[in-house]
Amino acid sequence: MNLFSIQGLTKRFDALVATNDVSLEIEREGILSIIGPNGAGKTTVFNLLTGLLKPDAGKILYKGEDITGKKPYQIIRHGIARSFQVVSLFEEMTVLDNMRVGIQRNLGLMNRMFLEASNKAATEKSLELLELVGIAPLADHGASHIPHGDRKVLDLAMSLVSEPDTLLLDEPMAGLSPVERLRITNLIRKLSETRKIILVEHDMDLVFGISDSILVLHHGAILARGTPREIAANESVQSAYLGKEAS
Amino acid sequence: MNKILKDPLLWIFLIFSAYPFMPYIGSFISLGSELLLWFVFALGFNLCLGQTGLPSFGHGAFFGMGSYAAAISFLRLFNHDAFVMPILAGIVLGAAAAALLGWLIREKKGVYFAMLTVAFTQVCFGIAFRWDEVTGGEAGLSGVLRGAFFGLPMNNPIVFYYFCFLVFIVCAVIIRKISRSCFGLSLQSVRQNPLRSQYLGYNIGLYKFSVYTISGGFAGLAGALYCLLTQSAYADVLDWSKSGDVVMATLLGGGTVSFYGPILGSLIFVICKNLISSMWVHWALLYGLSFVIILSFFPTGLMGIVKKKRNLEPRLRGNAPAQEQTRREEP
Ligand SMILES: Nc1ncnc2c1ncn2[C@@H]1O[C@H](COP(=O)(O)OP(=O)(O)OP(=O)(O)O)[C@@H](O)[C@H]1O
Ligand SMILES: [Mg+2]
Repeated sequence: MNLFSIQGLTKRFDALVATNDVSLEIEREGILSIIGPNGAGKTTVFNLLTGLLKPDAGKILYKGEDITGKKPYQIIRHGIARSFQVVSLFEEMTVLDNMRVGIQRNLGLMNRMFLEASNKAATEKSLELLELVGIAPLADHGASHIPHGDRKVLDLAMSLVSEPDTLLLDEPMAGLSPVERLRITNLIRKLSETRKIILVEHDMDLVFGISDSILVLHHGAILARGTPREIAANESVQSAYLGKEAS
Repeated sequence: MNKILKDPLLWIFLIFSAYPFMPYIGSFISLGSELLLWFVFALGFNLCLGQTGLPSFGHGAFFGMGSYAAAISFLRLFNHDAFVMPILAGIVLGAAAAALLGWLIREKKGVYFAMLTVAFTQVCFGIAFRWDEVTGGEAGLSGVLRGAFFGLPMNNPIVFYYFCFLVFIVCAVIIRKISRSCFGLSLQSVRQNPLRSQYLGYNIGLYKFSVYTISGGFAGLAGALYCLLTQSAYADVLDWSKSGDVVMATLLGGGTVSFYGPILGSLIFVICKNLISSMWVHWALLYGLSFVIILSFFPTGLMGIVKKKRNLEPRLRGNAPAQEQTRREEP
């Protein structure tokens, strides 16, 4: 059984068709990248898959189960998590607390009521994840006071707390320095060993270097799908990108 | 040990344990009791406003219902002979009403949430004001007595004061425990970024509903104590302006940035209401004006001023290198 089985997914914003009859099978392993010009509808697909938006038509099956129309908090429990193109943090909390909020979600309700927020288990698990993504030294800083690159990384780290089987990353490299890019590239590779990664990214070197398969969206519809080699050779993909840049 | 001594709650407890013996103000013993029940009211309310970011104007209704529940159960159910049961009735009705309203509006946001709570309070006021058989209508209910509690004569104002003091200690400790728990952190996450909160697996509607119910229980408790203090219940306590009072007191004190803000705010409000009003009828003008001025210059209220002063230095230190790095080249 495939991981995702998407049938006829459509989303309209008034006259604009942001997702246009997308049907797609996604296998369980590897890294799938979704590319496309600005406004192609990549983020909208993520929003649909995670229940933030309700599709106007179509169906989403995850591991054979129908998750269409479920809310984000329910979808998370199926093992899907995402990061955000525009970082989405708890701005008035420290980096550590940003992580703790998510870690605690895995505790039972009674524990949550009576356990101090600063409990040891949550702290250790949070620091472990911060260590993994490489921003542990910033743990006690306010989330709004750390550099943009680190905020982006924190956003990614927060999507890991639910230990997802499927991770949707929306432009994780945007605004990162070359050093950070390397670090995150390696992290994505490592994460992909134990889970599915669906990646939206404008950095073509990364996309073509890391992906097992690439999906090209254009005006909300699927333009092409294939291995990096096939996509690189695809003429309609080239014209979509070149056409965009020329205009 | 040092940590305990630095705990502001301890100092508040110490000060209020000596209240009846203080010069001048100590002679207004019922003012002391009113302060304490207001602390419970405002601290409980701030679980909604400060912690979860719920702008509720419904807490006056829960307070009023607690008051009526205590009066009605005393007069009708327990035949003029009970002390604890009316208080419990107040908690239960306050929480139940909050649960009902909270469930209905758990998915609403911002102004809509606020307006629906105002409407709810107005409906409750209307009912209390008209339903003569149960609430005594315009005349309200009176004749609530404070019997003995474990042999202690509650009709003695000083004894009742210490009862309120005990309730306040227990509630303050519980509320602080809640706000510092994992649950409390989750509530903060709902206020700061509901979108992200959902994506961490939180059913935020359920969290809003839970905290609203808990907070309504504290409002009901405060209302029941108020009924016992004044030995009566009137529709006035249900009026939505009462809800406005607790919102204003909490904001003025700085409930959005400090756990202790609501205590400071209600201290100022209740003292103004009781002491200054007896000297000058237009006290509300002065109170309202200072509210506007303080909140315009210090949106986080009085505790906000204190906190800012204290935090300034470490923040600057932590930030200086960060600010320089924020500008990066985009790809
Ligand atoms: N909530 C919304 N309401 C109205 N229009 C929307 C909404 N979200 C997205 N759109 C529109 O849908 C189209 C697709 O947007 P989307 O964010 O999915 O693009 P994208 O491929 O992620 O682009 P980018 O590379 O710039 O992130 C855009 O034209 C956008 O303006
Ligand atoms: Mg996007």
